[in-house]
Amino acid sequence: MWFVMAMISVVSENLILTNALGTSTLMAASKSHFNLLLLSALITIFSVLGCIVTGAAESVFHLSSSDAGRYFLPLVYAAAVAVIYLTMLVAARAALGKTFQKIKKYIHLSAFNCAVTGTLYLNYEVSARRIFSPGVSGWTAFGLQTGAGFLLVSLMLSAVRKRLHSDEVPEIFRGMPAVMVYLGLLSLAVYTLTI
Amino acid sequence: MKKSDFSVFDGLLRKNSVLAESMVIAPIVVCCDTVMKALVLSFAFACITFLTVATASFYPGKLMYAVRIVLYALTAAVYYIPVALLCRLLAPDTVSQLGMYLPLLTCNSMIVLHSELHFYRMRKRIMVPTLLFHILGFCAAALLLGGIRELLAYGTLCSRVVAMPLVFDGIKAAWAGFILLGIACAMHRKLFRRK
Repeated sequence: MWFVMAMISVVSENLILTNALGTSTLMAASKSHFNLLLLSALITIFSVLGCIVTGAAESVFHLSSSDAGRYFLPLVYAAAVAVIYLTMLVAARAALGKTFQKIKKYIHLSAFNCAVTGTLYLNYEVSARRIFSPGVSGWTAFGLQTGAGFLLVSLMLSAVRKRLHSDEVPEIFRGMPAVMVYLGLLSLAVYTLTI
Repeated sequence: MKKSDFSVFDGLLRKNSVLAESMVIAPIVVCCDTVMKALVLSFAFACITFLTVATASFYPGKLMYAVRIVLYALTAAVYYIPVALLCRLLAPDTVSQLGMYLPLLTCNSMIVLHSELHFYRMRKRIMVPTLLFHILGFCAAALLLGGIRELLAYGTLCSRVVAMPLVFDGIKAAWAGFILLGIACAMHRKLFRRK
């Protein structure tokens, strides 16, 4: 039952299909299976760690609940992502050796983007709505949900990517316009679940 | 890039950041369903992006790439504070409706990605007008899609009632944003692609 609820949540509260967060990153992810798995994993790591760090900061400083504090949220969130980003680069360099050169551009791409930062903003709202209980487990669950949602839509897009870029599609719609329409149709399907 | 292909005006139409380069998609897809929202979003985007990219162009190039990206994000977050205050002063209701998409502009791909790949490889006297035309391109795309969606969803344009035979409530949702953006990208390609 828990697994079914989690899957429904991944689909119906998918950040890409309901909030369009991380669409550009998604297009990069769907180019190959390597990109897809690596970017999804990195976005999951950034989201989970980001949610935990910003959630803890929020529970101490209560920035979101004050009008003045809300103006400083981007600064706090950017600082939190920056710490995670730099730590991850140092750790990956130490752990991976030569492979680090291959994957570092994916770490750069995953750090500061709308998917991760949007997750941090929504983490507060979700905690406020008490879908997940506030606390490390709730923040972790929300971060994992974001990563799983990104992976799901990346898989859905990579499955049809060749067809959306093929000669069967009229030239002016080929590629990016077709991808947008396809995402629109997927988003419409999710929208019908939630109305 | 061939020098003969380059023009500072490209960002406005031929290489429009939204319609051709698929950057900063999330606020356009989700928020731009009225002209007023598009206007406030464009104003905030223009201020944050121009000030950040212009300021960050003075940061030493000797710094590591990751450190520079962190500094760009933090600079944008600092500029967000006065810009958000100004927006709230000018259009408080609209700012509330934009929600997290206003602070999300601080990590838009024009700041954290495109500036490194594109703008900072130019001389400053070329960079400034090029950046301005890219920003104008975003504003034009946001206003165009905001106008179309307001017309179709509410039967109004700039809050003035227009004699529309039918209005479609669903056009306000993200799925319609994706589909309309896809169609707009295709139209843009038809009009501005060089043979």
